[in-house]
Order: sequence, then C-alpha cells, then structure tokens
Amino acid sequence: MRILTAMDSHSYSRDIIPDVARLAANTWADLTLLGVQQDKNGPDRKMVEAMMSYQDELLAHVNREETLYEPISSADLKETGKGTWQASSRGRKKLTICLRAGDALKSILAQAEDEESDLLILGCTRGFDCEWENELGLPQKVAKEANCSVLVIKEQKKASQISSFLDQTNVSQQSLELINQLVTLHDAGLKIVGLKGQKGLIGKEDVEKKMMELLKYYNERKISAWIKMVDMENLEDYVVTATREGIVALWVGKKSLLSKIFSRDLVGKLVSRSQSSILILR
Amino acid sequence: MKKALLCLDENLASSIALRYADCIPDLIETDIYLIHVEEPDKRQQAGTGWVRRTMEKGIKELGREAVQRLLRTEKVKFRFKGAPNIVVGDREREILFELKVGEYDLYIEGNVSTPNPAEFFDLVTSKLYSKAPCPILMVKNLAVNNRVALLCGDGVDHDLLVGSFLHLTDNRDVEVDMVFYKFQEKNEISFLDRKEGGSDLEAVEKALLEGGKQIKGCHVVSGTPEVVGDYLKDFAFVASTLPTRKSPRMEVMANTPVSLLLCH
Repeated sequence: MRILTAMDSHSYSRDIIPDVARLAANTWADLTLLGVQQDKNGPDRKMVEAMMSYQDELLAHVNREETLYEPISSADLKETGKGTWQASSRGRKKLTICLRAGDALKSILAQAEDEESDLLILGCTRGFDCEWENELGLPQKVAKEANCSVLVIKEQKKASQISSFLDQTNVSQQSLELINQLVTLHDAGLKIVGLKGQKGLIGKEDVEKKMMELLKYYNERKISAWIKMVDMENLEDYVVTATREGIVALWVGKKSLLSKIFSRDLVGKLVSRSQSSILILR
Repeated sequence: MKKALLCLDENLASSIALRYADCIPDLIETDIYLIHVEEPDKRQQAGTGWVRRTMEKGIKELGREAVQRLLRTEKVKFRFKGAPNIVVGDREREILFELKVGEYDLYIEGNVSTPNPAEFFDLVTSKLYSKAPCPILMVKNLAVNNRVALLCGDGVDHDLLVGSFLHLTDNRDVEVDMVFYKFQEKNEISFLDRKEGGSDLEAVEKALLEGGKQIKGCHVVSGTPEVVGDYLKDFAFVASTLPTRKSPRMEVMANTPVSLLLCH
C-alpha cells in the first residue's frame, strides 16, 4: 500500500500525524510526506523545517516497537524535477519526503498520480470551513479530483462509528482494509449502509451479496458491523447525521450511483459540511 | 427443548438470519426448523387438478433449490432439525398455519428494511406478526455478544415481556440489561436516575432475579428514537412487547440496527 500525506506548515497538518502514523504502521505502507510551497527556486527553509519536524514526530510514533522507516536528513533532498525536491530512505518500508513548488492542488494530484498512491491523506481546519491557509477549498478539491482514495482528517476526536455507504459491488480489498484500519484505530463500530430506492435495494442481488460478504468479513475479524438501509430520498440528511457520529466512508467507484448523487461538487460540499473525517473510497 | 421456526427466502435478510442462528443456542435452548414459502403468481395459480398439481410441484422444486443454494452459500454450523419445509401458498397464511400446528415457541425471520417508522409499523401490525401464536425474533444483524436488553417503558406490558423472555431463555445463562426508554427531542442520549423508571422497572428487576437471570445493567435513557436505537446496537437482541400503535418506543425499535424479540 502506498500512502501519500499532503501537508503544509500549519497546525492542522501536524495534528494528523498520529493518525497517519498508526495507519502507516498498521498497513505497513510505503509512505510519502509531501510538502507544498510557493517558491520555485529551491526548498523553502520554513517548509523543510516543518517537514523534518513532522518526520521526527511520525517516526517517534511509528518506530516505537520496531523500526519501520529510516529517518531522512534535510541534506538528502535533491531536485528530481522542475520545482520538485525529494529524498527517500529504505527501512522495512520506504519513506519519502518530497517538496513540490507551485499550485498546491496540482502538486498534490501530480504526486498522487506519479506515485500511484492508494490513499491520499490531508488535514484541514475544523468546523464548517475545512480549509488550508491561503488555499481556498483545497481539501474539497483534492477529494473531488483525486483518482485514488482520499481521507480528509478534520478533527482529532475518536469516532464512535464508521458509516460506509455501498451501492455497488466493485469494492477493492484495499478499501476494505482501510475501513478495517479506521475501525481499529478508533475502536469504532461499522455501519454498512445500503441504499433503497423505489424498487428496493439499489444494486439488488449483487449488492445484497456484497453486503453479506462485508458483514461476514468484518465479523470474522471481530469488528462489530451492522447493516443499515437508508431511503434514497433521505440519503443526504442521513449522511450529514452520520458525520456527527463519526467518520463517513463513501465508495464512489465508476459504477457507483453515489458518484452520481454525490457528484464531484457534492463530494466537496460533504467534505466541508462534515463534522468529522471523511473517507472517499475509489 | 424449545421449538423455533425460521423462515428463509433467497435474500440478504435470510442470509443474516441464517448466520444469526449460529448464536441462538447460546441464548435460547431450541431446535430450529426451516420453512420456505413460494408464493405463486396469478398465472401460476390458474388451472385445476393435474395441471395445478404439476405446476405446484415445479414451484416447490424451485423453492427447494433456492433454500439449498442459500444453505450451501452460508455454510452455517448450526444443525437444523429435519429437512426444510417447502410450502406453496400465501406466505403469511402458511407460516401462521405452521406455527399453530407445529406448536412452536418462537418464530424467526430476517429483516433489513429501512428505519422508516411507517414501514415498520405496517410490518409489526401485519397479520403474521399480530396473529403469531408465539414471540417473533426479527433478525436485523449478526450478534456481536451474548448480552441482551429488555426495552421497557410506556406501552410495554412488563409482565408479558418478562414472562416470555424467561420462558425462552430459562436454561441459558444470559446477561440482561434493563433499558427504560423516555422520549426526549434531544440528539444526544441522556442517562437518567433509575427512579425515573418507577415501579415498573423495579417489578421487572424483581421478576428477572426470581427467574435466575443476572442483571448486568439498569439504564433509564432518553433522547430521540434515532440515538437510543443506535445506543442499543451492541446487544445480541432487544426484547420488548409487540407495539400495537405508533409511539417513540416503536420508532426506537424501527431505528435500532439490532435484532428484536417481539413478545405478545
């Protein structure tokens, strides 16, 4: 698994480190810490300091029991492309620190694309804003535009519930594991939410089978999971309520009706309106 | 040994009910019999004599195959009593007939409907539920532990609830929580003093203790049906009396993702 963490020099980026560390340690992921900066002439000193400090904090969390990642020195950062500086270390898993100059959204999406990341994580300000400093609507845009799964960590509070909405059968093993990890990290319960339209469950037998598989999958792993059905007409209200209880995970694959209902604009709206973290699974 | 009848169809609700059956022996000492009802459409009901009998035989065979497929897919460990009973006819009528003739102690079926209170009300006031001669276990999800809750409150016949519960679980060491529900238009659950449960709660506690049950907790809870329904999700099932009218308690039961033991 490849995790990309997009960060700037503000406190909401630091706040996500404990969660990133636990996710990375539990999944044994190759991890990249991406810092975005404006200056194209060379690594911004303030940003480099922030990234090194993030790395220290991360390694203090991850390497408590065994060394998963080896540390990287700021002197190792080398220009690997125009406005891109990067250094990697090879411990048990690969750790990369990368700085990209230019438009933050383009930089984050380009890094995710280049690395073929499975999961992109970023923090944001709390409350109804969900912003990055000087980057209007960035978390929403990343959630909308990225081709991989995106976790927007909004608050550092423990979620009592993970609600994952399902209307399609195209569910990857990695996304299951991601949910699994979030449930474990938060010691939360899991609701597998099916959508009911006028003609019954959306996706019918195939989705029924998938829901049962998921229920078995998580139950066998001793994860408390429940199936819950929601009427399509109440979906948006239900999602907003679910964000109050905990993390909302949306599978928005190509075949998903959710991707039509939660059009890319609505995914962005959901990210900003949500009172907790949001996981967009692709 | 009690007798329970589990109704199966080839769908998600039945898959869940079938797998839930694995944990039933820990809660209720019972043999479980299987039934599947094939409801012929109007076209299939046409004809008389040999034509109709042949048609019914075909429908029955399809039903048998569907149940076998379900049993093969779910691979449950529980050993059901006898071969599945495949019946052709009106679902409610056939199940009621079997429950009466077979003198069952419990009827079990899966249900994965939405928390829509109106839909839930239609179900619990249906002919099958209101006329069933025994309690009904509505399986909504798999059980995560062996603790069960008795949902008490306004509109509950507490004597009937405790009596039915003790009858079903008499030989089992089941851990019980008493939950007394009070409606409040508040999106957060509040735990009130147990005095708020009044004499009903005391009577339930006394009867449970006399019945040899261990009471793990006694909670007087208030909040909206949604939040209280959610609070109940960690129990193996929630027992209460069958609601006969729309009420906040009925909405709690509609909203909770946990299985329900409906006594009447």
